[in-house]
Amino acid sequence: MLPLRYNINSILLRRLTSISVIFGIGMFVFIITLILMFRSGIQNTMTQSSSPEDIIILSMGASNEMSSFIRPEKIDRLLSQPQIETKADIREFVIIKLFKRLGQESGGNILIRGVPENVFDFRPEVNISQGRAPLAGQKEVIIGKRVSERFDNMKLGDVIEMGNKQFVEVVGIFEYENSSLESEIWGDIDVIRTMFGREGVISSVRLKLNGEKTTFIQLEDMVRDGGLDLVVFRESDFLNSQATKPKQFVAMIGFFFAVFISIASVIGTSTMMNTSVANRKQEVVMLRNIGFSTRSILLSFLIEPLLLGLIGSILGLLLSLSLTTFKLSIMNVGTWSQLVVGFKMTPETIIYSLIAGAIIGLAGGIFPALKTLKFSHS
Amino acid sequence: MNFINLVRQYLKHGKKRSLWTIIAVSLAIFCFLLLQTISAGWEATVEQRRDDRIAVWNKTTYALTLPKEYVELSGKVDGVKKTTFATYFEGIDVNSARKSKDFDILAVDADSYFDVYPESIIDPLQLSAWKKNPRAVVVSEKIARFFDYQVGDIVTIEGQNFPGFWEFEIVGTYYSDVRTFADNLFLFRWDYLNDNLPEGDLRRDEVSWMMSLVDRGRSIEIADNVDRYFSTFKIQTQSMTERSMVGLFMANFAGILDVINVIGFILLLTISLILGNSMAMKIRERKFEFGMLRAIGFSKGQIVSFILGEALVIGLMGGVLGAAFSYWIINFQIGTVIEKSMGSLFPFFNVPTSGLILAILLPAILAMMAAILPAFKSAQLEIVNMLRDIE
Repeated sequence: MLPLRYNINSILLRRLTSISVIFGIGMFVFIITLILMFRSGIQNTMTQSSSPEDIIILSMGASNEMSSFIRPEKIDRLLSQPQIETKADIREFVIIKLFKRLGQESGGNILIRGVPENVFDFRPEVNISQGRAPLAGQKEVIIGKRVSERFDNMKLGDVIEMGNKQFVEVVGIFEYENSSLESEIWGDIDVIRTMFGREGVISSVRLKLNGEKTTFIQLEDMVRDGGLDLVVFRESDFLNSQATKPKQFVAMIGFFFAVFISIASVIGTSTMMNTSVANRKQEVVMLRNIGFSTRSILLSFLIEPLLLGLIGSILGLLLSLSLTTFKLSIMNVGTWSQLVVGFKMTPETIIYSLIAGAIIGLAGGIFPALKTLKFSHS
Repeated sequence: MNFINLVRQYLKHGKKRSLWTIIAVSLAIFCFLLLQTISAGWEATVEQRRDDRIAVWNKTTYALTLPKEYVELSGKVDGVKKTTFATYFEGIDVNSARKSKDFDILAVDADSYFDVYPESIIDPLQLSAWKKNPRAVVVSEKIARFFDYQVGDIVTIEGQNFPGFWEFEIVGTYYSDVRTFADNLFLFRWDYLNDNLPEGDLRRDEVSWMMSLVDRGRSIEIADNVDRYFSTFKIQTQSMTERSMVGLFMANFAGILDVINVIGFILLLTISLILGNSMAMKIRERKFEFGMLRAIGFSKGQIVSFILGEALVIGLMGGVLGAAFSYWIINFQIGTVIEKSMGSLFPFFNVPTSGLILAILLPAILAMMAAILPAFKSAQLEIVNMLRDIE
């Protein structure tokens, strides 16, 4: 076995080749990491912690809150059944409206949620970071942190136009576990519905089931058999289904990139390593002459690209760390509203990226390394 | 030996590496073009929209509706030639084979729709069948092909924003030479929807938006006139040209376009790195040959041009190969799948011509840029040093 020191010296000696290989693999890893981070960002934003007893009810056929229209009497009928025991429930109304982005001419749709008074008890994770909650019946709203940061005129104390010449005051800013709810505006349900001319309409109902008395299956059966034209989901399933489309899109683009760029990087690495090996013919012959086996030489020539691959991965990962502060607003196709998504670095991403870089290094190094077998004593 | 001949001779040197370099460049170019296609797909939906049509919707938000009587009233505004309207209907075909459907379903007015969209062409007999039968549906030829809809088929759609099961009969197909959103629709009759809404539905006698054909060249002024006309009504309108409206909508995707541009830039860096490295190595290996050439009387300038000529050829070949490969795989493989499964986002997924030109020229330029420094450096060397073959 050749000492590792030999490889390190060789990497340091052939600086041009080493730097090129490291940069090549680094850029590959950067692109792959960027796509993975974007994907985790979407996942992180669109799903929030949710217990199996959290249920969402929409009108029949609706796959998201925007296209759901529920008549209150149906919910009353469902919840008045003695078999159904809930710990709490909230009825909400959602709608989208176009607002101007901060520092840009263009606009984006923001989801506006009419919430009942008990919403902050129902969602205890909500953290009001500035100001206070809107009072019932008042023309006041509280704004998600991500909307507040990225849209014009959305700071504490600002006044925004909702319906036709109907204005509301921003009385607070909230955070909610970095979830999609931070891309929303909340106000009292009756105030919001009236401003949009949708008095009495409910978009969705969320429940916390009393799991000991009523199971999800029982509730599902009751909704189906009751002829209520409603549909129930576990909140976690619902949130996952909302995230499917954007994730699929990113996954598809990511797949093509991973395949084609990795082949390009392997070829690039291979060409670079080839020269390095070819130039070291004399060295290899000498190593053989002083007694190193062909196997240990081969191994040593594989360790080198592996090392370069790992260094490249680290470079790529460091570059992508700079992305963690970036936020992007993307279109949530289900509700046609804007979602502010960040790039999220996860332990899995780090592991995948390191492995990807190492594999590219190895794959690129293997053919040049096999050449050392052909160098004979002379 | 003339210049071209010499460059050709040099290409033969390290043929294998040139070949691999060309392949690597073409693969990176493929990724570059894939991104270009995504942004072009979105831009095309804006560019292909007409300026002589104005869209009118509820001023508060387009998630709300307009009263149906606005359609007739809009005709009173000077410059409005003809108005049609639509209600956005979300639904899924219950036939599981069409589960992957991604086209938009609109409830429209059979009497005026094709007058306001003259670029969509339908057989007059099918059009009159549509006007006679309230359950009748026309779909674009593209959708009919993708999802195997045939004239005479009975189709059941499960409504999402309008709950229930809606039964339709396909009576015709239309063709649009403008390959955008307009070519990706399932059109049924608004009166059928309206007549079947349950009691008390707030959307009865309401429409999602109106579309008016107006005098070309005066469209912005007419859009303002429409808004002014309705400004004293309880529900006010927001009008703009169809192109501006789609542009406004597409601004929602700006975030993704930023990511695409960043990745595209990194790809170009990667391409330069691969090309630059390959060229630098070739130059290093052939120091001796260049020394020879200098010794027998070739000038420094000629050596530099040999190297740049070779870089140009390799870059061009990578670009052409990448462009050809991408054209085939994106237009005929991925494009079909995407237009079918994500048609409402990407009604048009083809490599843009501007992208193809860029894809061919950029690697050539990048290759020459990457080669220029090592080329000059090697030409500056003393002949003796070049001939003293040192690795």
